[in-house]
Amino acid sequence: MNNPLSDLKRGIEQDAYRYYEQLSGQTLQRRADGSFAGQGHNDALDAFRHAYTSGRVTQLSMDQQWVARSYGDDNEIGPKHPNDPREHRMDLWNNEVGRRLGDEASGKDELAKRCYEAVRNGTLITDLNDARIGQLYANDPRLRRPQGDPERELMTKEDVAKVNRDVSHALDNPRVPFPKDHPDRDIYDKLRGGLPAQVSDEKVAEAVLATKRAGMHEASDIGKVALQNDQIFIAGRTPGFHAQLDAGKPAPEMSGTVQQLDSHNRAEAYEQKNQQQQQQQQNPQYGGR
Amino acid sequence: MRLTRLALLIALSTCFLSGCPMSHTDDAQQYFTRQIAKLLEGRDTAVVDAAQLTDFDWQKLCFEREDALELKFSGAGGDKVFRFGYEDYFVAEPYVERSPAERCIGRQDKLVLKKKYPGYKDTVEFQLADGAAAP
Repeated sequence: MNNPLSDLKRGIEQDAYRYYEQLSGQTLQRRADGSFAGQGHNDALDAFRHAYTSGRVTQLSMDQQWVARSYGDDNEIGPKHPNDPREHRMDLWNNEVGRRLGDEASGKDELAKRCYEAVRNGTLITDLNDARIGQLYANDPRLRRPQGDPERELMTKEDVAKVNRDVSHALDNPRVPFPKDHPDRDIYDKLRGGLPAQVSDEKVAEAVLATKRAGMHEASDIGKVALQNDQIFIAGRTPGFHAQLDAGKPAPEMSGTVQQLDSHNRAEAYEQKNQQQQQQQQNPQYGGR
Repeated sequence: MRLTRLALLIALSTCFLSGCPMSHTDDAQQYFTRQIAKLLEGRDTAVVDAAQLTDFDWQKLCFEREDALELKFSGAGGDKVFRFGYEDYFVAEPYVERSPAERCIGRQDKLVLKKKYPGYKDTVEFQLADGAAAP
């Protein structure tokens, strides 16, 4: 006799595949009996299946999110579910988005449409390299274990609770990206490119501020960027210029750091202007008249 | 009441004379475990015919991820179900490439036996070899 919960889960998953096929226009792989084969791993279909399944369980449990949460969490806990830590985080993120959509949507058709929309608009995580993953329970000691160590792939109930806490916080407080047209955008891009995804965008912005305070004004002034032992090192091309900050400490909000950068830039511009005026006063032959 | 007692007596007698079905499965499961250890001796991975893993006849082997990992043998010599903890034997979720979960294979199909955590733990993972078992 089959486990009724497993049967329920499989039924919901079959619905998820059917909706995904309809909404995406992709033809999915089927078994000889016409049912959908298990498919979609760390991709858009995987994200959709997690969100839809969690959302549907939320709906079936009369919008009691804790039922769906417990159901989704159990799929990440213990030796039945060893996975790349990024994969656990991606799944838990997508489960939470699904539960919220399940609360809002009436019926499974609407839920499927909303989940697909969440794939399209980037609310769901569809790729293990998504920077949001690195911000979920980032100080998990398991992340420091080497690849291949089984402890790295496991999650306890407590680990899952910590990831869920960060997922909820991230969804409730959508991230402010570093402004595209900011004068220090080139420095930001250079540092972002040199640091791994687990370093948050907020931390990178903080590193921009540290870089500028250390006297490096342009992206071309930066030589090497590295993360070592939880420390971010930025070395200037000119010997003697360097900055260092603790990657393990929580970063300030993006808007606060951008304000500090703006204020630093204003102070720098003021100083430069003052210096120029002083120079002009000292060397009047260069200053007009 | 009488019929229940009679059924119990017959069951106990059968167990006594020809061995209980459960203990027979235990023997077959022990053979299976020993075979895998033998096939993986000195290496981290091996590709084997599924038939090599058992000492009884069967036609179809299906893999199910329940609370325990279930290997369900059926056909020919009768049905048997082996249950294992995931720390001993493992198959990935059905959507993971090459996972045999929620799939069935035949005796001639090839399976990959793979030490999941070489150097750390003896967990053995089953994977489908190329071309084994249609979805």
